[in-house]
Order: sequence, then structure tokens, then C-alpha cells
Amino acid sequence: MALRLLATPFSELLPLILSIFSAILAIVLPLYIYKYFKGKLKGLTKIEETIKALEESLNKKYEELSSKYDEKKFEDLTKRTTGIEEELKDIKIRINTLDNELKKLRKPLFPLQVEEEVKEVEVDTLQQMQAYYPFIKYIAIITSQGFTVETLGNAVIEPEKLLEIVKLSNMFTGSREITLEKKDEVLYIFYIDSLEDLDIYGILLAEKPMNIKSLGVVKKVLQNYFRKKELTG
Amino acid sequence: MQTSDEVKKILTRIISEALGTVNMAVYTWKDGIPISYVAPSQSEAEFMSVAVAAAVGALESLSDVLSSKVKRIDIELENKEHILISTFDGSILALNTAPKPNLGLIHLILRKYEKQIKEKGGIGLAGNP
Repeated sequence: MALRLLATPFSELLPLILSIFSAILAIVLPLYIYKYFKGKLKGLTKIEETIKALEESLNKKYEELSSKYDEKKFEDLTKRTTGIEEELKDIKIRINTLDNELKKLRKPLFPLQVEEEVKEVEVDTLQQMQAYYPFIKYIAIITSQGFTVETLGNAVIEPEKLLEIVKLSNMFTGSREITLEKKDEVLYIFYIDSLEDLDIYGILLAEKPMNIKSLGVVKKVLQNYFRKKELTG
Repeated sequence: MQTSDEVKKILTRIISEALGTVNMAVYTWKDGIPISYVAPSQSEAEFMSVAVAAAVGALESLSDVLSSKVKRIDIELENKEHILISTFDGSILALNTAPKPNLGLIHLILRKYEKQIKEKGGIGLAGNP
């Protein structure tokens, strides 16, 4: 029998071998699968048990809490919290207002470099103007000829020379006003009005700290003062 | 109202606005006859009119050379007084100032009233050739 099998060609034996192999596989594979999943299923049942235990303990705790919970007490608590919140708001508003009042009352320990706002006033004389704006050291109204119409204070430089600076500035920049600053003084030269062939300029010499905005206010006051005199018709 | 009165009013305004720096104001024809004046005396005004007319006449001889008419003249005297002259076609406005006057103010006032005085006082025969 064995010799016959050896004598038969391999091509004829192959179907026989395959059928035997498939029969063995049909028996072994289900056994293996069963063995593999049996272990896993055991783990699953354990998890299921713990979940059940947790659920039971949660139920118990819920029952305990629900027995202790009082709806009225809860409502009181919410009312109280809203009341506290409103009081807190009021306190915050009061703190802000008090803080602002305190800031107003609080005086600086040293003079601040911040200037007070300069207000525009109506004046009848240059002396009045200097009284309103004590930081102004020199005021002049000058015609384009170089003749001063009115002055107050001592000029550092001759006004005619200052006028030349404005004329030069006008030639190059087209601007009819100029500001010159040095360490502690500001010189402001500006156009006021015209009458026929004459232009009228104003000159202000101010002490620092002085900003251009404040000088602008003084400039307006001087312009109004000059126009009030009705010299230009 | 007569022309001379109207002119006199303007001259008075010039003197008052100059704040005491103008002593005498004269408006005269170019031949030296005064139309109106505000002055300490008539003789001073008449002298001034003639002198100013002569000065303007002398300077106008230059106008051909300079190709421009004389418009304003500022004469400084030894005593620091000034005589400011404004010329029109046939008439002249002259102001005699105090010593060391505020020339800026006087020049402004002069320009302010030039037009008015020209309208009220006329420009004389030379203005209507």
C-alpha cells in the first residue's frame, strides 16, 4: 500500500492531501476559537458585576440624598445668594465713587509737570493778558515793516529780527507762524491780521513748562484783543 | 455837511487813535492849499501844507526815473519827530508826530483812514486830468 502510494504521482495525491488537511482544520479551528473567547467572556462577566455593584451603591446614595433634600431650603439659599450679589455690586460702585473723590482730594507731594488747562478770556490791555497768563514773559504786536504797535515786557531779541525768522519760514514752508524752544522758554511768532500792504504779527515769549495748545489759546486772546481795537478797519 | 468838516472828523479820529503821538494832521491839495487840518494853529497847518506839497513835488520828479509814483514818505526830524505823508492823485495827507512815536501804530492808523479820507476829501484836480 505504501509502495503504491509512493509510486503514484504527486499531482494525483494533491487533492487527497488537501481534503485531509481541510478535515483537520475543520476540527481544530472551532476548538481554538472557543478556547480563545472563553477567557475573554470571563473578563466581561467580571466587568458586568462591578458595574452592577456601582449602580446599586449609586442608587443607595441617591436615595439617601433625596431623603435629605428640602426644596424650601434650596429656594432660600438661592434668594440669599442673589441678595449677596446685589450687595456686592453696590459696594463696588461705592468703592469706585469714593476712589474718585479721594483722587480729587489727594494732592501731589511734588509739583507735577502736568499743566492746568488754559482758558480763553477777553482782555482790554496787554497787562490784563499777562495777569491772566503769568507764564507769558513778553508780548508784542508788530507790523511787517518791523515797527512794534504794542509791547509788554522785555524782549530777549529785537522783535524786528524775530519777524525776519517768520518771513524766512514763510518763504520756505508757507507757514506764517513759528515756534522756537530753548531750555526754559518758548518763543511763538504768528500772523494776526492784514491791512492793505501791512501784515500784523504777534510775538509771545512764554516760560516752560508750556505746551503749544496753551500758547494757541493765548494766541487767540491776542488776536481777539487786536481785532477789538479795530485798527484794521 | 461840508467836505472839510467830514475830513476834519477823520483827522480828529486819527489823532485820538494815535494816543497822543500825532500832534498835527493836515489834508491838502498838491498845490499846498489845505482842505482841512487839526493843528495847534492855522499858520502851522498852512506852513505844513506848503512844505509837504513842496517835498512831494520834489520827490515826484523822481517818479519818471523810478517808473513808479510816490505813495508814502516818512521824514525823520532832528528832534526825533516824524512827518508821515501819504499821497493820492491830487491830494496829500500829512501827519506830524511827537518825538519817538509809535510808528507801527501810526502806520496802521494811516492805512486805516487813507481810503476814507480819499473818498470824503476828494483827490483834487490832478486826479481828473
